[in-house]
Amino acid sequence: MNSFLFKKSRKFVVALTTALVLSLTLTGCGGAKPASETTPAASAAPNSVIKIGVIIPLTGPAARTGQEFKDSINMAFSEINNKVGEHPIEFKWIDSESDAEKGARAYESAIVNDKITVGFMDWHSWVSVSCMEVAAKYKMPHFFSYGATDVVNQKYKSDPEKYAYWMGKAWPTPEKLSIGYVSAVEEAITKGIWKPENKKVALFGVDNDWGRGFCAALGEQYKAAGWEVVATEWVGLGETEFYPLLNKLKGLNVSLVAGTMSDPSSVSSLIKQSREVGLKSLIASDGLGWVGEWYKLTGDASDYVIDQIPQWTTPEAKKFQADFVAKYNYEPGAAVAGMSYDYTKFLIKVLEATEKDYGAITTENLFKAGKEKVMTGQLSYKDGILMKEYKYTPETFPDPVIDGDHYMFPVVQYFGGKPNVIWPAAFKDADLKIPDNLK
Amino acid sequence: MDMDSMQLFNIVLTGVLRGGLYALMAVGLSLVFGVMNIPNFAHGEFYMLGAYFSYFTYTYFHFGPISSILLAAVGTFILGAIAEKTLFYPLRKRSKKNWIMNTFLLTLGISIVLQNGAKMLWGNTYRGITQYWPGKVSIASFNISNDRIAGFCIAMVTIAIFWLFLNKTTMGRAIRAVSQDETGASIVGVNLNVIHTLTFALSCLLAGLAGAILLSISPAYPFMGVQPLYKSWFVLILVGMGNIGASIYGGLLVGLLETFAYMKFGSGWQDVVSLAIIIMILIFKPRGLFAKKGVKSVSE
Amino acid sequence: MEKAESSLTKGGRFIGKFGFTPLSIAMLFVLAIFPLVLQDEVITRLLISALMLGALAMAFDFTAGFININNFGYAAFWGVGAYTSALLAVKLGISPWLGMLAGGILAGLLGLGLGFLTLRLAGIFASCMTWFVALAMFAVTANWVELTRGTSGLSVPPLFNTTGNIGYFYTILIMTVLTYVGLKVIIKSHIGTAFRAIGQDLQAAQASGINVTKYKIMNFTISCAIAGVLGGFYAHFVGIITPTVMNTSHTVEVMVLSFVGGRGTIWGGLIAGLVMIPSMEYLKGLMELRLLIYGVLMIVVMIFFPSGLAGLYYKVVQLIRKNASLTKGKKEEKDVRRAGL
Repeated sequence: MNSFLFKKSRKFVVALTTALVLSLTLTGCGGAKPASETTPAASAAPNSVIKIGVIIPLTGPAARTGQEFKDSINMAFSEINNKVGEHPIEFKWIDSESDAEKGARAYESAIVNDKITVGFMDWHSWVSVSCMEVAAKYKMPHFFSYGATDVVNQKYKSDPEKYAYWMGKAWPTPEKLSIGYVSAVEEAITKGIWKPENKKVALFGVDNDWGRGFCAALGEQYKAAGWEVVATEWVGLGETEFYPLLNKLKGLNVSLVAGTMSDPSSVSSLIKQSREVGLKSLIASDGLGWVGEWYKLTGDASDYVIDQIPQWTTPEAKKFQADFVAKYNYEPGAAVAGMSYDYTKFLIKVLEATEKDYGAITTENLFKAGKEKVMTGQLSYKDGILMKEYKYTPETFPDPVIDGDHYMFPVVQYFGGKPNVIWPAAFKDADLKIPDNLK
Repeated sequence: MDMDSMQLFNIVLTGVLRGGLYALMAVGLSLVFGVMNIPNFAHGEFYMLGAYFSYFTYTYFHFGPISSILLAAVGTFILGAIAEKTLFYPLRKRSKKNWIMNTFLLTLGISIVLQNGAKMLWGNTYRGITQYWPGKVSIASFNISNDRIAGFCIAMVTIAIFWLFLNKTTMGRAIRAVSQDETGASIVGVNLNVIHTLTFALSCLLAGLAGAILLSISPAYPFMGVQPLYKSWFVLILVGMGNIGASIYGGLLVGLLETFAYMKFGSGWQDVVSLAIIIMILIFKPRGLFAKKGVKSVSE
Repeated sequence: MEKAESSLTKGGRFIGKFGFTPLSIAMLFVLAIFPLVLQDEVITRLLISALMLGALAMAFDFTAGFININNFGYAAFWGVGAYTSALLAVKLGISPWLGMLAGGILAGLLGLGLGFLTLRLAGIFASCMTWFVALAMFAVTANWVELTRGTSGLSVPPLFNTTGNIGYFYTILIMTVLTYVGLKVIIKSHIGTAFRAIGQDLQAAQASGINVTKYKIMNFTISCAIAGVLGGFYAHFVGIITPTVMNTSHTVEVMVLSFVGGRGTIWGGLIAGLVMIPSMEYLKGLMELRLLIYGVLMIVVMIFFPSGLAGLYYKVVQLIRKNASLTKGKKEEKDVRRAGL
């Protein structure tokens, strides 16, 4: 009996020891270092390194988007030779794996082990929410996260003092943008360009936080403009079979079909199949032009489709697009690579202003600069390739200021893969065109 | 036609088109389970490889649609054979205990490797084409693209050829013999190793073919195989495991069921409805709707 | 001297009833004071994840390794616990501690239902049933927007007001130990024997008079209830939940731990969790290559070490014993067999 017991215990001990030793040797190396190694004072030295922790999904379903973020951020910093003032820039790419728990864990590890100076970017709302907690815990200023939905705003408003470290969203809550689709169509109706048979609209959305939020907002906005929302359809992420949905919509006989999908294979299938089944409605498909290769997937079925998306309109934007293709060999999406390029430049501006106004680029000073300059709107970014001005005010925070003079996506209509801006009037290339079978 | 029969026609038509391709996927899955007792969770990844193969042959080497699709089938057949020889064969040699569960995990491993391997090789770009055969066909008031009609026809022809192969050729009869009684088949001189490799490769061929046919509908992407895998498992459970012939009805039935559930309940809830129906079938007819005596039992 | 030894044996026997040995308790103690000594928030957080998934893997093994049904929908029960606890806290302001308990009860009840559903099924059919039920639960959670906020996600209040990880660590450590002890006690009793009999041959078990219905349902209820409690912990630890917690990918994660650890051992999953979660974290810089390695590891384990880390360990022990003494070695072999390999 004794030997049996002894054997059992040895089993457990050996296994546990192995586990502990392994986990220690594997991860402990970084953590066991004394915390005093990099003190804030070190960053104050004139040529100390600034470490930027960037949260992006590098593996998993959203890896494509993460890659674009990474490349555009690298591009923005390489233009200033990876140096702000005399400080060399280092990146810590924090792979969120599109998972709230893993993202928060990786972020905490970046703060504690890699001793990042400042946090930057994030893509998913749920990762934002879990990382907000980590940022608050370590008092780590984190600039410009994409996580768009209202959950982030609610969390911020639940304790503005605590969550002030989450320094502004790069993308506002969906309803602030979606109004463009309503305005563009209403404008065309008022001008007599389009006389729709009825004012019925059907909505479709990808079944996730983004799609739900977007459609809810869009529905309200169309109702306010006198439209009747006759159907709202949710589509699973990655679904590519739309004959049933489209035939249903065809049967409803609506003038307008509007909605959003974030997955390129879904959205291109939807547009192609809408032509195949002969859907007689004007289509507003948010996110069609999301990835660079969209036209290769969709083809001319995309003619007349409306989308609201930042465009490579300015010469600087076109130059960026060309440079990006030359450097990384794939087409960047304006809303992804283009926007994050602008926000990276904004971050560089914040870093420079911090050194100038607060003496040293430290985590503490960056928070101060964020709170006193960025949140108040004193510091904004006007040289963007996509938007006129990236700016926050205490009223809009954590969302950026959304209007024609600041941050607004133009509404475009595609022909042969080329976008024509149809709204707002300031950027307009052409009027809304109506397909022959709808006139 | 009045409104109701219009809608019914619509449901049947879209359901059948959708179901034809489910059937193609499910036949392969069913074959491997019936003959080799492998619950293949990497089936969707061979579908993904088929899509990539046809994409490259079609856009880079400018082959015609049919030859691209056929080359994709050949490619996945070869990969399937390699996978069987290098992975399942050694496992079979080592142990047969807990075979189903071991191979289940093995296929999960293969699926992770193929997904991430594809991602490393070909990156995150969506690789698709707009159409193989531009244009559409009108039936009553419904329009269907040529690709879909052609895809459905190819699927049906393939299944027919496959059926003939299984029933009329020596090799096919040997495969069926193994699925019914492995020991008996080996006693009468069937070379099990050859049959196993052939079976697995054929199953991969069917998945690859489906991926290639659907390239204009779902572009090639490393993680595209998950959805088709779910659907083919649905079909399998519905008709009964290892019942190869019935997978065809099963595919069509699931296609119809989903379309119907979608029309009646809207998307989102359609999954709940079709899942509930399948759960019911598992409760009341655990061997599936078309259970045959002699195929794999539910409580092994 | 002799007296002391016998009391030691008695003590050993006593803790042995709970699946412990004197030295394993010592090791547990080391693990327990580990974060206090090291004072490293990141390692503590990593250990929390490792323990949480390890505990899930143990409870998963309770079904997979004994009654031989892979609960392929396990993550859904974890998610039910998470949502129950989170919703009780958010909507009714109920304390997370009670919420976790409630999560466990609801997940256990659903597990009871699942037990009934799989009564007539075995093997891959039962797995598919659990899978479909879980997919349906996922779809309901995602679509019942009024209650769960759907895919937008639900913000959850934390378990502790302090920001450190240490409180979470001790909570999950205690939960893990309780899970281990609870499962071990059951397995060592006649119930465990019945489970094994059902797992090996359903018909034979039925024929020999074992109440299969009772034991199967009992097994599912316990295993799912544990997942529910751990889900509640997860919700309050991470601070946000979305329906994706119920994803099959999470089940696969847990299943891999339990299989790599060794089926039918209970402790295997925990060890695998403590080894694999930190290793995967360490390899994070490798991107896809890391997942590729993960896949290859699964393939290699299944082909060459289907009995997992535990099997490997027993083999090593066997080898050492054989070298040490022949007679002892033979006995060892018997023990190894008895351990269900």
